[in-house]
Amino acid sequence: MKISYLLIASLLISFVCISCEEKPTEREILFDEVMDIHDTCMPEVVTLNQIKRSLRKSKEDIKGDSVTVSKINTTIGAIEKANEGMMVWMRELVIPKDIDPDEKVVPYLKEEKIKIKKVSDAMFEALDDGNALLKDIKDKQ
Amino acid sequence: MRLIWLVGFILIILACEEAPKLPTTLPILGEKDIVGKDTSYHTVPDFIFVDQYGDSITQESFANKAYIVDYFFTSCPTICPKVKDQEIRVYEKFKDNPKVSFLSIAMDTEFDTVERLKWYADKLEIPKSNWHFVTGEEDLIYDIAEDFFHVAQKDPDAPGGFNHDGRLILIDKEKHIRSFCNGMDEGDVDRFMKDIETLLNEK
Repeated sequence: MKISYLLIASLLISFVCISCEEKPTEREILFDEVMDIHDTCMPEVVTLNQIKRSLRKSKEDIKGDSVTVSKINTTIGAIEKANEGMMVWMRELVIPKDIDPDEKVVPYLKEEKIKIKKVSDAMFEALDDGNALLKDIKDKQ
Repeated sequence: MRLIWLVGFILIILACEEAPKLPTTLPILGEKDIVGKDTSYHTVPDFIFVDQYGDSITQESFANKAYIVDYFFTSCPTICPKVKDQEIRVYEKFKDNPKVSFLSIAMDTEFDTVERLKWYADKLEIPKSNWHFVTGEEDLIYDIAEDFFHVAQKDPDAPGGFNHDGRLILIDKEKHIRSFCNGMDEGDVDRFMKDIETLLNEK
């Protein structure tokens, strides 16, 4: 009998503990989401730069092909713009302080999430376009 | 009674077993050329950067020293601060060792000026020492970065993959890449610190 009481008591305590566990706040969730997007695309800054440099080199090799040269220029422009987008976003980001009120932080992070998503989309689009163009150039050679 | 003797005997045997020996040398990472009996190993290209005090930093700045390299952005909100936390652990361990230096290369050449790098070093409470936070020409910075990434991607001895995200790289006094670690992984950084010790103890 005593054992059953003990079992019930420990189960109750466990339930109370689980229900008391702190859930992340909206600002915490938003902050993590913003940073996840940033962390996913950030390493591609270097990859994009590698592609840009390969394209520059290709441009020197295919001077006569004005159509491809024009495509290369456009793609390099998009890569530079995408990378610059990330740099500007990082420079302008203000990490919220703990004392900042939710009413100020939540809308700010929502806005930053939209901004970094645009940056990320532009980077991955530039990455795909750059890789596709490099492949085209390689196939032509 | 017999069981006690048996357990005691096993414990003695286990205690007598030799501890695994630590490696006494590190591999030289990167492509190598073998011509006859001579082997030439990959070396880090020459560079010229400017550090947080406006001083020129070249390979000569690291003559007869091992140095730890990382790439970073002073404005990076997540990856770089985590890596810097780990790198500070490495710095704290080796800061008084005259055979070790640190080279942190900023990748945002427009924003990460000498003044900004000084501000960043001050923020991390790094005094004027053997840790250089540098900037330079964008092409040169990415040339060197690509060289590191290339070695890490190609070399089977390089631990883990390489996603250009927060790696610490160990260069020896002969400009060879000797080890890498994931600068966000505390355990891997512990292993890296052992590698630095191994390198320093190499004969």
